[in-house]
Amino acid sequence: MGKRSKRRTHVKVDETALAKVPKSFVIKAGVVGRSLAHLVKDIRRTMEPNTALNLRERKGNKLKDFVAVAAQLHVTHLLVFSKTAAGTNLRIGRIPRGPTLTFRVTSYALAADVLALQNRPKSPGTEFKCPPLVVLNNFGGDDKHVKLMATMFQNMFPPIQVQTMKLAEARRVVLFNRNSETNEIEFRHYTVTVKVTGVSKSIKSIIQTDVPELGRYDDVSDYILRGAFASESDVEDAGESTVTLSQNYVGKGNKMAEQRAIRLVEMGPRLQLSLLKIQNGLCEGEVLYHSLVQKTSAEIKEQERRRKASEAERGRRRAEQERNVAAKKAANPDAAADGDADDQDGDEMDLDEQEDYEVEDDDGGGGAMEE
Amino acid sequence: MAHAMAQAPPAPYSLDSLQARLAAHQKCFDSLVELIPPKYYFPSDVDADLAGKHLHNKKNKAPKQAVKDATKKAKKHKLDPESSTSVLDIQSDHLKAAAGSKPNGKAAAPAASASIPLGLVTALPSGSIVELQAKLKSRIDELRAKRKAPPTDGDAAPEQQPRSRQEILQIRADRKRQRKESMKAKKEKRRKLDDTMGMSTTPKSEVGSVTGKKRSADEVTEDVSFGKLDFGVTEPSKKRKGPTDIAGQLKQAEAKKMKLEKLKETAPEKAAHIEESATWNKLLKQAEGEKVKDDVKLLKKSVKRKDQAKAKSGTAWADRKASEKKAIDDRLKKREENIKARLEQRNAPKGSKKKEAPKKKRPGFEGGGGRKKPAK
Repeated sequence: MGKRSKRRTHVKVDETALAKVPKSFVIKAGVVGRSLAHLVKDIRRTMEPNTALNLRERKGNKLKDFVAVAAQLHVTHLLVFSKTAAGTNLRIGRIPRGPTLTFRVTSYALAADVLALQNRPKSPGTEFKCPPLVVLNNFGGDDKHVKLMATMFQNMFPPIQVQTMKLAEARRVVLFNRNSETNEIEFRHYTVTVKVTGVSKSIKSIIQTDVPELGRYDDVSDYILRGAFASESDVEDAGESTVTLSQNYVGKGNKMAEQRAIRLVEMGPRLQLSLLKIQNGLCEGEVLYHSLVQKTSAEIKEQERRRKASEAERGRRRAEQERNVAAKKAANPDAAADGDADDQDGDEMDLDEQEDYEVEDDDGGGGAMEE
Repeated sequence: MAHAMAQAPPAPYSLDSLQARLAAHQKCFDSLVELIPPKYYFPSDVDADLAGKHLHNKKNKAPKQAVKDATKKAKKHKLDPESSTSVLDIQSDHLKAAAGSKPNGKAAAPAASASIPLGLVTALPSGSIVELQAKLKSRIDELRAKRKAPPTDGDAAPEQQPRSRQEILQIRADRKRQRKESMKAKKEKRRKLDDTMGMSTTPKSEVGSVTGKKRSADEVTEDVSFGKLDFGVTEPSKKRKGPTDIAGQLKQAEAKKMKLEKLKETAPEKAAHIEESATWNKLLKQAEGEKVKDDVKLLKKSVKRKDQAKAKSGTAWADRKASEKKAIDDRLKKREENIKARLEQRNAPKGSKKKEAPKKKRPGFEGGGGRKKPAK
């Protein structure tokens, strides 16, 4: 026997392509309560596989910790859930210094609740290995903030690779539906299932499951022609909403060039979002759009002035503390000076809610302008 | 008692034998009541119960002597032939006592109700029996109608009544099946509604569906767009506009800023408009992932950083070169020195050879010279 040479070797991962796929961190900020924690978990599953499923936030973690780690891991988006007295907020931001969209979550339903509504809930299988397809409804028009929302939502998920994608990789759909009157955005998450159409119930059960109990019938025609009650949905599907499978699909008997009806089964959490504001930086920066508050330029200037004053004060105190520490060290070189000189005022880029400071790009972010 | 009743002849219901009948009934009841010991018949005093067997730390516990006397007295009373021990006797005693204390017409009723709370029936509500029966019937009919109960045998028309057991069973099975199908239809409708909630439905399917629950079922605007498609081919026509190095970008950003400032002076609205659209475009590009570099401050910092790095690497290069040169020079010098020394050594006459310096000895053995003999 000659030497066997390996042919189908392990596919090498293209690093540059991997870096381009958008990845996300979904975190909760502060005390949020049990159901919101569950919602965070559900959203993480929705964003699978390009998100950290078992991410743990410690109490002391600040936003800059996540940002620092994200750069190495090529994470591009940050989704933060937080709870205030006014309600629940979701912030979606692009990681280095990208825009942040703040939404108010007016209502939500957990995945477990959605499944409890169904008669026969589908248990999740291998659907989460591939990223979901994105569908947006009613995001047209000229409004800049609407366009920005659409772009953000589209870019949170990896694009469809037209050349190399297989049909079996399209297993889930994420829908964002915008209601123009109330300006609310509904988020839904579905599993794609294909169903056989155009055959009676008896034949369907023969095709799809094993041969049923035929002991009661004298002839197989008795079984087939028993006239089982056809469901309404079968009649509906028969017309235009069938497709021809271009490749083999997941599931028993779904082969190429067969007619199937596509059915979307709701699976994941439901969110009802309404846009609050759009900020220039990551959870900070100039507020470019606010749905509720409109500030006059005088107010903006005043706020800016106050912010600059507090920044200056902070800088001064920090410098003074460092001087004291250095003096102590010089005086008594043995005694270890316990310094928490950093992070005295450490709420620069806090995870928690911030006031609307309208600022220019401050250099606290640490100039990440690389070539 | 039933035995006694059966033996009596069925008397005609006339008024004169009423007395006899009442007496007979009374005798039956009395014989039964007499069998019951008075302890269980008469209601006990409520207060005695409260301080009863469950309260162990009764403050008003009777002293032992009093308890002993009371038991002795009760025993004697039980065996006394003149004392009344049956229920009927005790009742007659009570009646006599009550009649003696209040000798007027009202003695009977209050005595009956107050001193002997035997559960005797109080006065019935006024109205004849027939009226009450009519009221009862109407009330029952009302309740049945509310409940939609099937009519009883006497009421329905003869042809509607089911003739046989088979028919009754058939009717029941039909009703059950109807109920099941209606439930199924309702469930199916509800499931469809849940499935389509939030989705943009086509007008065709809206014809049949219930639009009551959905807020704006008629006005779901269809304007569907999808996620990004990556064709895997970079467009050749897309060329980078503007300088790609940082210095050039900085110049460009500064130039833009200058222009905007100038425009602000002349046409502020236009300037504001341009600025706003510039910010929004920047945001859109950033949302897509492209890095937009137009902040003068940050660009300056990058330029500075780059220059510093360049300078540092320049000095490092110079240092390296210098040290290399120095090393070469040193080696060269050493070589020449060695050559020179060798030449001098060779060419110099014999006489001029100096006494060589004495070789350095090992530590501890510097003495040398004459060795002393060891002392005996």
